[in-house]
Amino acid sequence: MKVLFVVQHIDYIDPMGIMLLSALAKKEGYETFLHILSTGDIFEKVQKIQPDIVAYSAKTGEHKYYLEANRQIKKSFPQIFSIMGGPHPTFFPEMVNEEGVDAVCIGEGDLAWPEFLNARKNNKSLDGIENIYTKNAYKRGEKPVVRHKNQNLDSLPFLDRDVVYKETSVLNNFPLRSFMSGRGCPNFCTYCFNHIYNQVYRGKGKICDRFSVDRLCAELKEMKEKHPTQLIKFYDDVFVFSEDEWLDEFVEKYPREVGLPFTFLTRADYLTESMLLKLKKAGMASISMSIEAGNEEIANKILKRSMTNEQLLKAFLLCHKHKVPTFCNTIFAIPGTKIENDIESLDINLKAKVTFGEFPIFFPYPKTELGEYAVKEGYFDGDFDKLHMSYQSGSPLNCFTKKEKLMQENLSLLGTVVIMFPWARNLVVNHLIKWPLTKIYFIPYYFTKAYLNKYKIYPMKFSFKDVVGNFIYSFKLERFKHKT
Amino acid sequence: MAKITQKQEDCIGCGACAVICPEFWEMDEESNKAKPKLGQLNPDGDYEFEVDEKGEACNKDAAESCPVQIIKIT
Repeated sequence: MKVLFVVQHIDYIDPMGIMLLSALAKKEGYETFLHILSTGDIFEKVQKIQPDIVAYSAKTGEHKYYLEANRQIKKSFPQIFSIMGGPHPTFFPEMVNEEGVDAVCIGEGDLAWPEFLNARKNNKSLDGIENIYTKNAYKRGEKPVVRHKNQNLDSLPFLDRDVVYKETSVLNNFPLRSFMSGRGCPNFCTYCFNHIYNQVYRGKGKICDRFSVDRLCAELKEMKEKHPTQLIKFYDDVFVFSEDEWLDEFVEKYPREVGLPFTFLTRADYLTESMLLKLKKAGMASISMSIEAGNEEIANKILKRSMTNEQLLKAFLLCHKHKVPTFCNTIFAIPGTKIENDIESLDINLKAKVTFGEFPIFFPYPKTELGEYAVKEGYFDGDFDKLHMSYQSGSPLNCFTKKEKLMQENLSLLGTVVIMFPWARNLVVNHLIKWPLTKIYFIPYYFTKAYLNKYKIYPMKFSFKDVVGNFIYSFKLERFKHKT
Repeated sequence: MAKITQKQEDCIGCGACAVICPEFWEMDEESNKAKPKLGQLNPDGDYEFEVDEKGEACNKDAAESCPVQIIKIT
């Protein structure tokens, strides 16, 4: 039996969901394959592999590409079973009724996916498999059922990186590897899916859970032996919450067992000086923390960040003091705000001495509190199908004028440059953002980002050939992300 | 009856328990940490209180929401 996973495109982040599902499928005796829509013809691939199951992991925005690809597949190969998981079907399980979709997976697939594969292999009914919601169940008027969360992350197999790397030389050769030490975020940020996801799982297990340090080190050790690795990025929403026993064990064992530089995401209000020093000693190369909004009222009332500017500045300046480069995201074009608020956000990035700042434009994600607010206020028509798959393109909200959108996009690009060259702040804010030169501004943005990523945030060594290859690939990727 | 204990010293102040179970939990504005509304400090310096079966469900949600696992139900 064969499973073909389909993704729209691959950037520099390992698609860890697919890697895990592939590992679980192999344990069930399946052969697994990957197709990248942006690099080849899906029809040819399906014809060649003849999979039994086609599986998609869909975020909102990219789901439309998968529905289209799936329609094409099902037209010629109706016997292939199609299943879609990921955030979009989790929040829109009714999408199972879309043409060609046979089933969706709601929430975590750790336990449901192997059960589903087993049932397909043995021609058994899919009814009663929690988290799996079939078209037939939808038609019978049944509601999807979510099981208790997996209580033992250590029992999961190591990620099957090969299924992805054999399809993409860029990612295979790129020595930055993604990993998640755990899952979950307890916070209530209104633009993020976590507060909704936590409602789906309320009463069904811990919000946050993680691998034991031994299990984590064992996987990373094997990974670095199999794939050239210079740096590891932990993509957990929050890598460290506090100076607990886990952290002490991690900083003691990781340098010895894995011994590679790493970077991670956390919240500024959780970071303390002693935590920072411990992690730096263990190999921390840089840190990602978000500001999101420089105006405290917007940050705490609209975004519900529950964080003061004092806490933000304290954490970023601590990193500056200890020479730890910082990568910071800040959202522009938040509903109900003005360009002055975006400039205020830029200014706090400067005050915080952020090393590399990115300024994505707000996107109303479905069912999130802020996404629903944007729809309720009439700022967005609720048609999530038309969202660009990257949140770095122009604002989809209608509460901003054409001129405001131009300034937001320009500041989004030039803000990154200003963080590196603070002397350019007034020139950018007072003049450059008003000019219709977005396409030109992309050039300094790209080079600033490339430089800071390569030398500060993700410091790695490359051959000349790889530098050129990555330059072409990342330039195309960034152009796509900023396309309006 | 179930006994709830909270090691407040280790609270990171994310406020998840106070949002999920506001009947029993609130944020202490001074310390910016969560605390039980009716709890007493025990000799170890941790908060503790008892709840009936009805209150246990809400506190179980609060315990599961805590990222640093400092709320225990026994």
